[in-house]
Amino acid sequence: MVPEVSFIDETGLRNLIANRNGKILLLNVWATWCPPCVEEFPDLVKLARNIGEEKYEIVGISVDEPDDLNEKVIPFVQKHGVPFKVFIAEIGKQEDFINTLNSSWNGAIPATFIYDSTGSQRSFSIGTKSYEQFIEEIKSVK
Amino acid sequence: MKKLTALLIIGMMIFTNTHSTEIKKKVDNFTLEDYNGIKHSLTDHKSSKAVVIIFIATQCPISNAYNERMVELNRDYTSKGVVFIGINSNKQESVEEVKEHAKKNGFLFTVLKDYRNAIADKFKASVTPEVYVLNSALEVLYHGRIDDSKNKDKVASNDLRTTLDAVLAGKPVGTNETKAFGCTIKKVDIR
Repeated sequence: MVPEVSFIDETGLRNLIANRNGKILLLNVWATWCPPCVEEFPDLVKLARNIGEEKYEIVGISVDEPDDLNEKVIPFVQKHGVPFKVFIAEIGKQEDFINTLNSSWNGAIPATFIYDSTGSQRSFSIGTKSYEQFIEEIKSVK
Repeated sequence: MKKLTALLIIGMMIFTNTHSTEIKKKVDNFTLEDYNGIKHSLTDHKSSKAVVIIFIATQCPISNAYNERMVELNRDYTSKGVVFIGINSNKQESVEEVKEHAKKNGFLFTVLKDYRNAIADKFKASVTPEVYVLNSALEVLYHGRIDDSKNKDKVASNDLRTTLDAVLAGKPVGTNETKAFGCTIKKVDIR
């Protein structure tokens, strides 16, 4: 089965964050070209499998080039058996996308953003995380 | 009415002046060894018109996408009095790897190894490639990306070149802070 990977622009991103349906959102920004992102990806998949869909939503946003959808992103997502929604950022200016997520973020990936059930950003961090760190961060948000 | 207009003009002049004398961030001098073990300090370049510090990586594809552009920038601006310094702060990239990478890519600029990411932490650098342009007083004139696309053919904004051209012409730097996606600098665990 081909995993669903779609494009998302800044408006789509804002809507995704706002439409919480009572769920806490962990949003991970990654790319297939980013070694630390690739390194942490299995832990993100493990998190999504174990965390419970009733209360939490995990979303991955790839900043690969849109042209790389079929050749790089979909095969990567297939290989990892990704159980969560994956988007490719379809953006005008990188800076606008970066600032939409957090104005103090400089674009370093992987980056993880956690939003509470009202859509307010509760944490933002860059760098590779382990499964335990993902669990600790997401569970600290009530 | 004339008095009001005059007051408005004076007010605008004061506002403009406030911006032109904005206090720039300053960095401390540091000393690091290059991949041959030779020590380099920022203050070695006091007579330069600008010092360009670029945090780079050997394994990050985005940083590597800029190898050729960094070689070209160094070639184009060295003769104009600009010094380029690469810094590798990634904990998993050894000094031997840094040396090999620099030779393979024809880097004619100095590349320093930042053990335990001490200088990256001082600069608050977290991504590769990440650029700081300094003047001789070690004030930060520009911080951010080299340009706006890892794909050379899609570049629309040559931010670093624009900055250096402004500095060399004695003009104010237009945009002194930019952002772009890049690889996180892998730092030593401080927990």
